[in-house]
Amino acid sequence: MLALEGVCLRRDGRVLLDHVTFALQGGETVIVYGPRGAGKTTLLAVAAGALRPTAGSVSVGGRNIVALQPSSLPFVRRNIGYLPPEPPLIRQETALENVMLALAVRGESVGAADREARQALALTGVAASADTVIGKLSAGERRLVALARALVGTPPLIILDDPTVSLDPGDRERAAAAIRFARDAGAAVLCASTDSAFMEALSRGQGRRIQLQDGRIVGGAPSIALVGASTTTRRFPAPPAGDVAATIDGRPDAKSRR
Amino acid sequence: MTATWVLRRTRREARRHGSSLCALLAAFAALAALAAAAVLGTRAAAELAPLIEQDLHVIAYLRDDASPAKVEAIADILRRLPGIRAVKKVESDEALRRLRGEVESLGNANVLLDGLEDGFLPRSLEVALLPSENLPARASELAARLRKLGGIAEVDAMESGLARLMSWVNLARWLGQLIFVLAAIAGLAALVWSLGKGRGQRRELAETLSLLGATPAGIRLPAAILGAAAAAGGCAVGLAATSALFRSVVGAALRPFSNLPTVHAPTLHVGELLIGLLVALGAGWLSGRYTTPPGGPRSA
Repeated sequence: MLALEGVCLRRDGRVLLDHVTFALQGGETVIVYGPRGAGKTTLLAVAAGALRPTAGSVSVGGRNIVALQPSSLPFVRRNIGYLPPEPPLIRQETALENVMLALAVRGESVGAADREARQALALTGVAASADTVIGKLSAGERRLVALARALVGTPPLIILDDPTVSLDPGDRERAAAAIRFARDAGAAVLCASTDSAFMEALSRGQGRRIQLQDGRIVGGAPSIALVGASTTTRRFPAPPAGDVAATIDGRPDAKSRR
Repeated sequence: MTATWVLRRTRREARRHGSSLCALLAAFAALAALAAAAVLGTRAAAELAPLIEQDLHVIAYLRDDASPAKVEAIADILRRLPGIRAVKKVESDEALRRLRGEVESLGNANVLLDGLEDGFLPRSLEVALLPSENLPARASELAARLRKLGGIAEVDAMESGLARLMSWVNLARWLGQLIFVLAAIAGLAALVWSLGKGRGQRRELAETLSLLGATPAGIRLPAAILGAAAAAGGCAVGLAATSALFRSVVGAALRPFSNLPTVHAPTLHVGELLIGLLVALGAGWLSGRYTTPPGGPRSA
């Protein structure tokens, strides 16, 4: 589902990522960890298509998104549930409406989006705040709403940057359970965290960890082999990688750029 | 996004951005009203000016002892002067008939005039001038020349009345220009304010939708729809209000000029209304698009 090969990123003379190579399949969890300034957030942003690397390739569903025209990137983002460090939410809208918008962009009907959004909010433990305007929620509740939005509809690729910021231990456990649920439904999960308890709860003996330092992988297993594939019955089966590529290619101007 | 979603988002954005939409509507109403006032005002002036100018006469009252030959000679000389449209002799009985007609048109009884005998009112020469910009000055000059001629008892060039009329016209023109400038400034200020406020409010929306995978066109569509609707609504209100105001106010203002035929206040043609609405729709659509940034995720 996701493959980074030789990804480098330089900015203002600084090396932010240095020949990063790893791959991730559906139903797999990869946790990126490392000290502050290691490049975790930058790596996740590159994987999500929010940043363009200086060199290397980023393949999502078999398509190199670095080579795509900027006008095709929205079609890539629809297949990724991305939780950035400061996720934008529409403050004047309710939590439910914010989550529903992720499905609206994918073409879901209003009724189906409403049902799935309520399920996602229930999984992250903020169902009671569904009809509350974002501006009136606490920082932790907003974080959980943003997490629900990233997980709703079980997109093929889920990228989460420090999802447990501002969460208490109970909420962290709930967040980990919600992410595991999506992984078991077939999503590929790439997560960055410095919270060891959360990492343990998320991986639960499965998944891989990659250690990042100064923009370079210094530990962990970047291979694509699955470790302990889950046999949980899928409630929300994720589309296979071929469908993701078809979504990207469905655009008439989704041309490769040499 | 499906059409249902676009309509849902449009409704929700209308509720969220009510104040800036009202400002946009008011701005377009003001601008449309100004444009309509300019068109209608120009048409009214074009209709009115010839009527005033046509009705301007210099009247030379003849002495009782002026012979018909002398009167004809004076009339002949006047007809040859430049800027003279026509010269008409008005006999005493015709003058009395005209006076009776004017008194009756004012609704007054003719009792006062019943005792007047034919020949009471003096004969006169009515000199109609060709329209020009310096009409009052030309009328005064002609009056001065006529007073020097023998056979002329008195000359009336409507100087004081004309001067009053021209000063009112100049005042109205000055006031109209001032109101026009102030309204244009207010309309443009409201437009700029509503666009700026809308853009600030929608930055967060654009960023969120872009992160989720919406295209720039999809992000801007509801705002464009709302902008077009507000602009068209404002334009319709402005055009309708100005047309109605012109009909009632301008028509009433011209009625006191009883010696002038009734002026029908000009109206806008259907084609002009349609063009105005189409321009407003286009401008509103573009304004709405402008108020929504294309979006883009924040860099890490």
